[in-house]
Amino acid sequence: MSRVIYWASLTLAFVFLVAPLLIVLPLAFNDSSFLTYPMDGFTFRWFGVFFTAPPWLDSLYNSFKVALGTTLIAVLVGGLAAMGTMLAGKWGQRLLSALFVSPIVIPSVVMGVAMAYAYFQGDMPRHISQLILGPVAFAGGIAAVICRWSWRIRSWRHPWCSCR
Amino acid sequence: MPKLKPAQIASLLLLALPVAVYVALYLLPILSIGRLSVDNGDLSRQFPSLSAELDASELDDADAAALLADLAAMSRKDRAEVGRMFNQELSGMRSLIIDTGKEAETLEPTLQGLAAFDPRWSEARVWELIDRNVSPITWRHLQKATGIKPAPDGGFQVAPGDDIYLKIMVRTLVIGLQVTLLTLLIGYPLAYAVATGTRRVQAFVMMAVLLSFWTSILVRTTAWVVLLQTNGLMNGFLIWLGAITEPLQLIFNRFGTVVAMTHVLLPFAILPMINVMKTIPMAQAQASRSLGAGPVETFLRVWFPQSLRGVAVGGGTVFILALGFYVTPALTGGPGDQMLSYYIADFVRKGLNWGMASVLSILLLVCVLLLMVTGLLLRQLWDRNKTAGRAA
Repeated sequence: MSRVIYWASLTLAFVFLVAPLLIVLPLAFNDSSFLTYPMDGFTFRWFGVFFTAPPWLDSLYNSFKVALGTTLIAVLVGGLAAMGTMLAGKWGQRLLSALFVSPIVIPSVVMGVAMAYAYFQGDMPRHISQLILGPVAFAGGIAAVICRWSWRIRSWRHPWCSCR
Repeated sequence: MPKLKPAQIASLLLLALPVAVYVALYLLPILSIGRLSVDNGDLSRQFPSLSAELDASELDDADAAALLADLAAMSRKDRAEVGRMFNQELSGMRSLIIDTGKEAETLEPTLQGLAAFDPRWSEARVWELIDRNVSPITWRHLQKATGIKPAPDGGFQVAPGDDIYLKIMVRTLVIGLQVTLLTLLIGYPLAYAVATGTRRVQAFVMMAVLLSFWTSILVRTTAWVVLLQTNGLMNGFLIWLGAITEPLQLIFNRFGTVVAMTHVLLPFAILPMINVMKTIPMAQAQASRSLGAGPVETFLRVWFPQSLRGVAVGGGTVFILALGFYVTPALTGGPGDQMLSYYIADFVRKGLNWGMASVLSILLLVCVLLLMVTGLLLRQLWDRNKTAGRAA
């Protein structure tokens, strides 16, 4: 009986988790322009449309620019933050952790409004660097958490100090 | 100056850049909208000398002189505007300000001189109102956003019809709770399978969880639109089963919002649960079985209580993240299912109303930070109890 409960709940939960992911992918090859099943036929047409139209390609480039830029800054800042925090005293660690980790839970819309109000208001020209800087606090927080976590697991010891 | 240890010097050097970046890209922006949400610039700028004077001392002739100087410095239009804003709280203030302003330069700059010109200047409530409104900080925006106002009897009241954003806040919390419960219910078996299943089950489930985790929120939300739309797969399946004859409205309502958000947030519930469940020793369950407990009893009395810590961490994470959701409800919900983030974005997009956007942002932020602090305190209490229990 307990096996039945286990497998039934596992199967249901697994289907809920995976079915939407599996269902949305084949629609990229759907011959119709609607996101519905059954599919009208198999086509590579939409890929052709995507890779030849400047607006779509520009958005792809922008995605890569933002991803790369934010990652570079966030890993540098988050990594340094994690190292510095590990070397600080007990209360320093608490304070610094609060500073570096709290952006992870700040709702993205709130962060966006705050950044826009503080820096990008009015007639200021829009630039990709604004998009890159917006999520730096959030991404840096994630980087800091992951760095501290993995260094602690490997009982990473600092070469020039005898602290933990 | 105390001598610094090498570790402290290294720490300061390493932290210089991250702290500077976090001040510029996190603290300053958040503080700027916090400042804006209580900003009274429009009114307090009109009373430069009075706002300095009222802070300093009790009501005296210097206040009267400062008031008259400020009124004399204002243009006729400014006085009418200030009077209009005061009039919203106390009728008659508009005429009082305009009349006094006209004579500001000729009146005797004392309290008696003012009271002689108009007896209302001797009333305490008039000065209290001015005191409230000329300081650089105001709770007016907050009152407008929540609809909560001080009642005459000293408590607080909510005027009917003014509580639109209070209702949206409650709705945000309710959706967050519904999503949290569902993610825990659906996530628990998956986490259990990863923690205790055979190697193959573990790898299979973990792959699915990570696949979902790394897939864009927009893609997963779109997938639910495909599944739940009127002529979508779910309705087709139910009609094929014979359970229904007409397609059901499954999306662009509360059901669609909660289901899609549950799916998006599922990994954030599962991953902390796995972390905790992996620390539960299998030997305990085996011992329980060999001592005669059935599988269900073993699970309920040995395994489940120890996994609750993971349930708490996962549930807390999901709840906090759910409160700030924007894209998923916007794409899968109806007008009555939008959460606080939607209205914050709406105020900025339509009409650039930074004031209301900042007040609602601060309210959401306070909710989230309070929850996070509560969670951390609970965790500390939990840990302390556990170590105390072990020592006893």
